[in-house]
Amino acid sequence: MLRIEHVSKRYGKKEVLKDINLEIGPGIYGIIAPNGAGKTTLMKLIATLLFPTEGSIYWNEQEILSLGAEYRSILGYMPQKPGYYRNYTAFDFLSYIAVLQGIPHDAAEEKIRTLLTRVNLDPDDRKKLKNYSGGMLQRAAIVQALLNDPKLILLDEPTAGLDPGERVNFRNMLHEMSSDRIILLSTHIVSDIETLADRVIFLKDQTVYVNDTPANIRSILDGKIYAVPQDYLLPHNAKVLEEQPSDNGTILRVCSNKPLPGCKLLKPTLEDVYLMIYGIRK
Amino acid sequence: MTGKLVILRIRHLLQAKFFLFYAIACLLLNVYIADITFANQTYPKYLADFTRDNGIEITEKSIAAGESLEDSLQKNVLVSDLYSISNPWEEVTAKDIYSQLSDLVPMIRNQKLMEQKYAKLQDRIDQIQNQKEYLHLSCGSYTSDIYDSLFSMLMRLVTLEILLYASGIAIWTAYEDRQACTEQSIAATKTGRNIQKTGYIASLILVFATWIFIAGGTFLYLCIYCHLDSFLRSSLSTGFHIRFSSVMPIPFVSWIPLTGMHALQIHLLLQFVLACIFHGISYALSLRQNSSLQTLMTLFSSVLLLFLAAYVFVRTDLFALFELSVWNPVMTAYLEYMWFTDMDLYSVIPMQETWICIVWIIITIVMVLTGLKIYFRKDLNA
Repeated sequence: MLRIEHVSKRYGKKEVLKDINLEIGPGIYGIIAPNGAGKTTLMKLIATLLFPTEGSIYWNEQEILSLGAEYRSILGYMPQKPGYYRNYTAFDFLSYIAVLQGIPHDAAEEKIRTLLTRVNLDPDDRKKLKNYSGGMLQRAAIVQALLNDPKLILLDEPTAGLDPGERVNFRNMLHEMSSDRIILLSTHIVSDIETLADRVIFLKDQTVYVNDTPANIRSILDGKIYAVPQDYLLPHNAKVLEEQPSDNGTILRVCSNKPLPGCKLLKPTLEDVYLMIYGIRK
Repeated sequence: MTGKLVILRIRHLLQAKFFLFYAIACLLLNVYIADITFANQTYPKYLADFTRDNGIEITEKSIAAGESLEDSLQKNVLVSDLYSISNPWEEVTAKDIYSQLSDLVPMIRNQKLMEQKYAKLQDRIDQIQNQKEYLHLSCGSYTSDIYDSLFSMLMRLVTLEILLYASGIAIWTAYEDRQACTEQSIAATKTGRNIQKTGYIASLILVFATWIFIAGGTFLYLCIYCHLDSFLRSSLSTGFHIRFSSVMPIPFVSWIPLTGMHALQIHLLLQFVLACIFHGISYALSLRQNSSLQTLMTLFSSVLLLFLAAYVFVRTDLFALFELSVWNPVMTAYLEYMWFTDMDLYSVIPMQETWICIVWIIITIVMVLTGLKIYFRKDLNA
């Protein structure tokens, strides 16, 4: 169990996170917020890369900073911009990380091979990392985060650079692993966690804005999302979320508190909630 | 586990080929300079052959042996050297040197310390006389030139090379993971921020290996190919060795009995100690600062400031401040040609360079330990 208690992070006068409180048990948690809203800072605080200005983070009721190596041995972290040594092969780089994780040589080799196969990198494991594509590097970084069979997995924007097929494979992989561990996934791509996450955390104004199951979050907008023709006269407080071209002209996806007669009622998605919370950035 | 990590880190650092090229280029340069400076000189070789058969001390027997050699240009120089030897200490005492210096150099304010220094030096002068070190042949009339070429040029070059390497590899190692964006992935592993500790040890081992390669290679070349045998076996305080300090010529004297070989060895050793200090300071600074450029600028401006301070304090006769400004590894390296001698007017205690190094080794250890501690509590936000 991971517990975040009154955690704040400031850089000088700039407050990045303010009084974050979370209790996180096994399962997949999606952290959603626009760029620059503090997702990465929260991930880094949990990964002990940053130190809270106020508050503490606990793993099984023990402060993570006092646990030190014991805590990091159950942690798997994939940073937003994973780095690599250009002249290493994927296998060599992962072997190096395995040593840093304190994994015995034979076990590490077996684990690396299994995971590389799982992310379809096994045919390229002897290729130098400088010759890898962006997607391949991303997959190598995912393997690096999973090498020590972590109980707590932090993935910061892990699907950036992955093609649709790889994304599906990645989601399946996370789903398989999620039964007995905590997976925290930060992203601004809502579709990544729509079907995957057990709980979704929205960050707004430097703090936790919503923390609930996707179904409960979507239910906030039940009966409020409509498909509306472009020439329809919208009520004053209605908000256009999306414009979709169709055979009968452009159809608007609209959120309205008042019923819109003659318009088709749609099922709300997490993206609708996202747009209602953060607005549309032009 | 730490041992395994250090080995891995060394293997990893060895992949940075430019450090390897740098070391090879330095050795080649040193060998080239040693070659053009010493290897082609015929007199040291001639003298080496002569002293091998007749010993390094000038005696009646060796004078006779010199005269019986086949006629040649070298023989003429040798015989002239054998006859022209004198005891420079017969009429000069340490007290005389001190009184002349204190008359001539207005900046000497700390007279008591200087008096003590020269009083201590008299013991060594007596020893030179009693053991007839001044009769050692060394390189005869070429002794001062050979000494200058060896210690004022070649050894200073080796020192500069190893100091640059030590600082460079320290900064490279400390920042490498940040440059490669691997710092966060690595810091979140079980080893965590201990990676900098292993980085420090690994890069220090490489400094040692490179020092062995550059300095050892140069040393071996000097010993094997440069025919300096008689110079290396003789005391450096011979009758042929007159130094010109900034005010007056004085016979060469060192704090400890010093043959050419001893001088070479202790120069190399102190060189390595200085390299460890430079490496440690550069590493400690890198752990505190956030960019390699910032660290490089800090080091560069510190070196400039130290030279500037020394210059200003000399010009303004602020002796105490000047003395303080030379108590650092940069000035110690710069004044290498004066190590273990009393030739500099700037050192107030015997073997000052050694004491400076001891003090700075302690400072460096403290800086590295606090640097590692700071890195442990540093936000890794790059």
